[in-house]
Amino acid sequence: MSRTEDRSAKSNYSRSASEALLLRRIRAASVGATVAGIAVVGSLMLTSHQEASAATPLMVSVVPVSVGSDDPTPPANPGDMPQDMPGMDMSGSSPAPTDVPAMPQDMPGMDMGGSSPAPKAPAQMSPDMPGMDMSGSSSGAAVHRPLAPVLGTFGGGTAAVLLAAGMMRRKDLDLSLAKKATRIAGRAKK
Amino acid sequence: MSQDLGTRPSRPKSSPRLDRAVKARTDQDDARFDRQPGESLGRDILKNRFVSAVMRSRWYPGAFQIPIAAVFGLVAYELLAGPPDAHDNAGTALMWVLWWPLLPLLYVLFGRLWCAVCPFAALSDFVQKLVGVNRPVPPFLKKYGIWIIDATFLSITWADHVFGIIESPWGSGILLLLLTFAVIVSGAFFQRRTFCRYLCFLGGLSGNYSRTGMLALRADTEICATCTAKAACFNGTDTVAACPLFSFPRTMDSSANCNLCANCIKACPNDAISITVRKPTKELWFLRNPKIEESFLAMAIMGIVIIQNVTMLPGWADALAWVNRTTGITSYPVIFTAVFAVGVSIPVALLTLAAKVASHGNLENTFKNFARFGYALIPLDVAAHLAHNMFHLLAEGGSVISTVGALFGGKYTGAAMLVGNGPIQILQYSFLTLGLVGSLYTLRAITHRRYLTPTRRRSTMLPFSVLIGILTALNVVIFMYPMAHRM
Repeated sequence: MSRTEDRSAKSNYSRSASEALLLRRIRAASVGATVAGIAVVGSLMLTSHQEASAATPLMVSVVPVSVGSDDPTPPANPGDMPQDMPGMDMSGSSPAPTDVPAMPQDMPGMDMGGSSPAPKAPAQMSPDMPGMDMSGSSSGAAVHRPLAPVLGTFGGGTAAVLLAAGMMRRKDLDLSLAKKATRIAGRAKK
Repeated sequence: MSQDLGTRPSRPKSSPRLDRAVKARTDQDDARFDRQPGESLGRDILKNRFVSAVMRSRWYPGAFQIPIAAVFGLVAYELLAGPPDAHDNAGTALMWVLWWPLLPLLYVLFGRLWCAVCPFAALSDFVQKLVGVNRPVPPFLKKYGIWIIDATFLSITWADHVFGIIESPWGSGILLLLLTFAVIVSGAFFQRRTFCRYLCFLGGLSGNYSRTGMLALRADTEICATCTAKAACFNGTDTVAACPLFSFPRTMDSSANCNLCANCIKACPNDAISITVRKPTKELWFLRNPKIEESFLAMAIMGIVIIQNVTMLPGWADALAWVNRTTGITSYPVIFTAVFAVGVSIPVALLTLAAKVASHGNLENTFKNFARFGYALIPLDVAAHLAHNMFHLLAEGGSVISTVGALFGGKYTGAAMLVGNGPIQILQYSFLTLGLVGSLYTLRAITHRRYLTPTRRRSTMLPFSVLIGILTALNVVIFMYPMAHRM
């Protein structure tokens, strides 16, 4: 049997009922898998978002605003805070910290005198060198994200492109229709 | 080809007799690139019922595009509106730790199959249906498209280091938006997938890498010779779209511009299309029209991989400090730009040097040698890229589990490293060994098919073998050192 005959035999086979059945099964399986995937992923995401939003108010109510910030001023109303929060006792009634006689004064990292100078970048070091930011601030592209202007520019640009393309397409269509009409009119005259 | 050799100006001792001899020899050599009549294409996987049914289904490749586009949407959302720290961002992890490292592996195994299911391609098709003007591809793009791809690839890599695109989810998000916009513009104004064929930097990469791939779609030219369907495989039919990458199966001898979308398989009324499994790198042995820009891209990618590796080494910070002390330059962008230019230039310069040396012995000029034998380095290129990417996948893969798990309320307490440094290095050196063998074998195959005399073969093999050895040694040394993590 020649190669061409092989091909035609395969072509006939491709139209057979068994292949049609296989195709239907593949279609049904792919649609089913996609729907199931979307359902599972969607429900998981919704569940996790609900958990996150339920947890957020509690965390905000417990953690004082100034914790973690550079602002040295104490909270306005310390009485509102839970008394048993670790490290948050400001009443002054607990025993005051006393010097531990056994602790050597020159233990590394234990200088509490505050007299040593704060670390600073050497003069010759470039401030924009990656990983060399010692200012303590976390400014940068990762934190400062102007989402609205960027998305606005993207959306505006996309809309302009789609509009321009749509108008060009309409114009092309009009031109081709006009040409067709002229051709038909020419034939009619003859 | 033979005319170029015959009129070569740089050979003063040229005589009509020598020219005739060279012409006769190269014509004979060129004939060796043709497939012999009756030569088997290889095993046709379309004879498998399941594969055939999938490829001929109207749901292919759409059924894959939909879930991939959904994941892409999630990645884009996370990058733009998710956690600002790359370490916690699922978009960054999915994009740079999972997808990007796996991509070269997909190209080697399945050719440009990714391009068939790419969400950008789906977006381009959608925009085209909506408002597409379908203007023909500008000649400028046809002529300089690969150079534009080369420049885009280098620019993105440079920008990544200077602006920290990978380390910043916001930066990655902006990159995605820019690509999306370019795809929309291309889809709105130009025919088919102009962006994918002529502008996508990943398309250029995949075009080069898929030549080493194990799948090849080809047409049976004997059947095509009797076809009366007016190139339905290229132009499409009423129900099947045209070839999105402007390839004509009847004359196609490369997988660089075939994404296995199966449009031609569905449109062909004679069942003349076959998808065969072939030996990796086999396509490179038979190249008839080597292009200098594709060889340049291969070398540029080699340089990029070397730079990416060097910047992850522990000595990189010391090197920066040394440059700082020696030159007084404190600006990182300036220092990196200089290092980047040198790093990318090294493989290109080495290939040029090898081509120059080879040209003295094989009677072809430096440009032709550069273009032809640059392809021989693609297997090593792919191997080095894979070795680099395997580090990201295996040493940082835990971040994918943790960030995606966190997205759905789960918590992963394991380490980011999925396996230890030892197995990763074994894998890296295995890839490099395969790449070395692949490159040397490809070099031998091209040389033996191109030249008949042992002298010409030797004078060609020697400089390029040395080049392959140098680049392999460089990669071996780099992979000996521990690398810094990105995530």
